[in-house]
Amino acid sequence: MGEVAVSLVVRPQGLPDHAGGHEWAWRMALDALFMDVQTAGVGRLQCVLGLPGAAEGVRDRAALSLAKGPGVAVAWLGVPPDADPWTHVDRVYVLQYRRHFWARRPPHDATWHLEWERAIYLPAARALGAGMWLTGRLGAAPWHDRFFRSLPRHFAAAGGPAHYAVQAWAPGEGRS
Amino acid sequence: MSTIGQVVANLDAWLATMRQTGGYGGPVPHWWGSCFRYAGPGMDWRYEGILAGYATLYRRTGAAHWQHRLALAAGDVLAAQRPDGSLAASRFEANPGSLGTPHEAAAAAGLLAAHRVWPHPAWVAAAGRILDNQVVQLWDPATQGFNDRPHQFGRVPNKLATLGEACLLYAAGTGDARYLAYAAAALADVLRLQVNALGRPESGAVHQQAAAGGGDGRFFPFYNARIVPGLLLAAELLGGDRYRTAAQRIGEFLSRVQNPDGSYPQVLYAGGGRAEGPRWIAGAAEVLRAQTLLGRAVPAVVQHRLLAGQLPTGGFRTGEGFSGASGVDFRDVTPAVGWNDKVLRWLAESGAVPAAPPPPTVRPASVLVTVRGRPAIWRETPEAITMVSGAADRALWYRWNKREPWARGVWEVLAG
Repeated sequence: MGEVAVSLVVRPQGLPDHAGGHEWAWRMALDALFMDVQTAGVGRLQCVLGLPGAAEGVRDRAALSLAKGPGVAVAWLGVPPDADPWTHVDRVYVLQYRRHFWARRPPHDATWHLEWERAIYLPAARALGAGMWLTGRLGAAPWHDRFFRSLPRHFAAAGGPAHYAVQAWAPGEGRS
Repeated sequence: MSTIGQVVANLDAWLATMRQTGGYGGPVPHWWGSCFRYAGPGMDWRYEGILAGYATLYRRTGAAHWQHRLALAAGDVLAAQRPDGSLAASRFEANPGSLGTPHEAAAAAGLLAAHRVWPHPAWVAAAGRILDNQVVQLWDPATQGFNDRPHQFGRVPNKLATLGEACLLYAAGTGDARYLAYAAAALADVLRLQVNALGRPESGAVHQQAAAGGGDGRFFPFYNARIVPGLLLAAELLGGDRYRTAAQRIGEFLSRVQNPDGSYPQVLYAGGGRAEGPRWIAGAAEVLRAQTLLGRAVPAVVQHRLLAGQLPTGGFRTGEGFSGASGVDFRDVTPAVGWNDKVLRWLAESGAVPAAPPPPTVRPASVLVTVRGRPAIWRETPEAITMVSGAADRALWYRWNKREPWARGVWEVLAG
């Protein structure tokens, strides 16, 4: 077993800067993706990235991950997916920034199914972040810490409104 | 209670189970947020205590067993070093990020401490590259100090103390006087953020970080304890009474805030508030070490509480009170290498360590815990850490295979 081979193409999309809550969101999304890469036996990952600031995070995780199988996956991270790779890979990951960005289902191959999805950077987390900012300005350290420590529990969920959604798609049975 | 020799042997056996390709891994429970997703090797402050701890054990016993452990750990750090001098996965609870503070400086300090026992020019060179990169990334010429993040003003005293200590060790080992100046600058910011007023609960403590008008009004006993070794080394190498006096005042603060059961609150706030939990168990070794270095008596209850936290696997629990509710939270019990290294170092320095470690007497551990208020069964073996639902279905909620860098499970655990 070696590290996961990753090819990375950056296509800037004007996404929010890699800072604050958005940086947390990217970290969590990339962690979810690479956890799945290990479980699904992906050994080679083609990544198209819409946020240049997240490139180091992709490379770091790939270098620290073990290729546990020969699978090939493509990841569209903050970039609308193209059609072609869906017919040549074993797995597809999609990170959407706000759902209106593009269609939720892959339009090109109806046999693919959504295996899992995480909604990341929930409205509650945004509210807690605002509370942290305000209490920081007021010098109310105990309240700032309470808001900060409750963030992880309110940062992601199985679904619902969120700044980001990360998805893993798998081919259906009988795919040629 | 086991002899210290047995405690060390069991801790060493547990640490060996936490190694995978590339180094020591495992989940990280922490006050700031936990890391239960990435559990691969981390080149963070865990290597400070592992390197210094095994070096001390080797120095005190001459045993090849400890020398071998030391060589492995140093090799991990050297292999993880990148061309710019930084380390991969050096942010502990925020792994696998890089440029972790104080973590890369702490790993450098570990290499330099090891070099004092078993001279290796390559270890000193690697530490020097780490520190050179810290200067490039974090030194702010305008304010003559070290920021916590590149190009963003900030001062975090406990991290500055670790960086200062590493700089002093490097200067002492190489004669590079530039690093004496960097250490002095780092520690000047530490002293500036110490509470000099008398008669307050936080008197003698150092603020957690700089804020407009001074400090931020947060005083963590654990992080204050981590400041002490750097100040004492500065007293030795830079001279002057101010460093030793400042360190002694921290020691007095630590004694004053200790709870009757031997624990310490997590944080005190200016104005009298405090947050008790989580109260560190493994991390309390840093307080013990600081008080020992200061020559201050530590009540036996503190040591007993720490030693009682050793699990049957040999690892030490992280803490108690993570959830703020009754019962054992899964983060309380999950042992982390980056907390246990502190126990290893303290035991190595303070304990009656036998020349040859006795055979370990470890076995799997199983603990009833809560996950976000729901009952679960936490279990650790040499191969894995798992959590299953306490309900009849025994659904798998978490599994980390110790030879793999990523865990899997339900989001209630993975979110940390």
